[in-house]
Order: sequence, then C-alpha cells, then structure tokens
Amino acid sequence: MPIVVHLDVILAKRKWKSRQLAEAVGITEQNLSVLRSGRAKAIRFTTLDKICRALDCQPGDILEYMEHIPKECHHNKVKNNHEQDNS
Amino acid sequence: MKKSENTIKIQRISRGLSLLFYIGTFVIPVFAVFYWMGYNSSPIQLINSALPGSHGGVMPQVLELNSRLIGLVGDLPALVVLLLALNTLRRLFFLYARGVFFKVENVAHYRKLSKLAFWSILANIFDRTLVNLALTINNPPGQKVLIIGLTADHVKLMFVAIILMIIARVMNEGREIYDENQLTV
Repeated sequence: MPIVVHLDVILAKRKWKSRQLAEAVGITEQNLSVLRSGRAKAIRFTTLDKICRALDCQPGDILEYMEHIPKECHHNKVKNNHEQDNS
Repeated sequence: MKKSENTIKIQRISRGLSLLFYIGTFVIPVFAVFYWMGYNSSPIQLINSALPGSHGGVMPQVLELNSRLIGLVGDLPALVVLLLALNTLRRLFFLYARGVFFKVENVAHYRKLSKLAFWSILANIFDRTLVNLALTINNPPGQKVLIIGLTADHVKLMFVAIILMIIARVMNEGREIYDENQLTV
C-alpha cells in the first residue's frame, strides 16, 4: 500500500513505548502493531485523533503517501517494530 | 472485547446443537441397522404403523433376510450423506459456540453442506429405488415394484442446496468485511 506509517519515528522522538501509546489511545498493543507494521487496511478518524492528541502531532507527521516504497525500507520497518516491542 | 447478548445466545444454542449433531452421528446409523435387521420385530412394526410411509404404500409386516439386506444397502448412500452433513453441521456449530462466525472455515462448511444437499438428491433416488425393490422383491410375479424417479421432496432438496450455496457466498462476503474490520485500527 502506498500509505506509509511513521508512527515509530514519532514514538522515538517522544521517547514513548508502544504500550504507553496503546493505553493513551485506548486500543490494544496488537492493533497498534498492525498500524505500525503497515498491515492496517484502514484507520478510524477517532483513532487518528487520539494518536495525534497523545503524541502532539499532525496526521501528516504519522502518515505519508509514497507511491514506490523500497522493499528494504519496508523490511527494516517491520524488523524495527519487532525489536522495539521486545525491548 | 465484551460479548454482546446476541453473541452469548448464539454460543449457548450452538453448543447444544453441536452436541445434538454429534449424538446423531452415532444414533442414526445404529437405528438404521436396527430398523432393517429388526424389521420383523414388533417395535419396528409399531414405528411403521405410526409414521407415514416414506417409501409409499403400505409397509409389509414381514420381510425376508434378502429384502432387509437390500433395504439396508439401499439406505447406505443416503445414510453416508446424512452422516457427512451431520458432521459438517457439528463442526459449523462448534465454531459458532466458540464465537467464530466469519472465518474461512465457516464458509467452507456452508459450501460442503450445499454440495451434500445436491448429493443427497441422488442418494435419495437410489435409496427409494432399492427400498421399494426390497419391499416387493418377494412378492408374486406381477406385484414386484421398481421405481426410479424424482419427487417433490427432491425438488425441495434442490432448492435447499441452491439456497445453501447462496448463503455460502453471502458468508464469504461477511468474512471479507470481518477481515477488513480486523485490520481497521
């Protein structure tokens, strides 16, 4: 999908764990992982609203339209998400 | 996720139905064998007099062993199809009892039920033919009966099979919506 989610970048900047964000937004960590890994097919406006409020950012900071996503970029993103969850 | 009242009701009823279908897979074949092998006994005669003749006409009071064996063999394909259908229903309602409503397995079960409904038409025709033969094979010449044909019951079964096929497709649409919902954050 051309929509890339930069949630892990924002989380790193704010020094937040995914568990903290999941609790603040009111979704499960598994759902958050679905979003971070790019497997999500849709996001509700209410969820986007809560994420932006929690992280004090704009939707554009989290979501980016990229027509051609390099394969290495996607592979590293999934790997980084997994490593951050385990730490 | 908190379950709705509807989900809890579905699960409760499905547990009972799953158990019922499970018991049926053992009871029905035993009854079928007992019916034909014990045909000449009074309990079976009582059943025959109480139930409308599904094979048409008056049921004879006594059948020779060869007739009873032909009758049992005639019942076998329909019995196999029925047992497969009961097993499929047991699995489907077991999924419902676990709260699984819109998965690939559910769709597969509906498709299988539709196919079994089509097969049951053929099995039923075979059953009816052989059972009528079994009931009349020892009759005097000129009184033996061989029937091969479609009845209103077969047409009803055909409609049931088509409806089940459509339901399987609808369930597949539901499965796609459910999968998409699972990936909506």
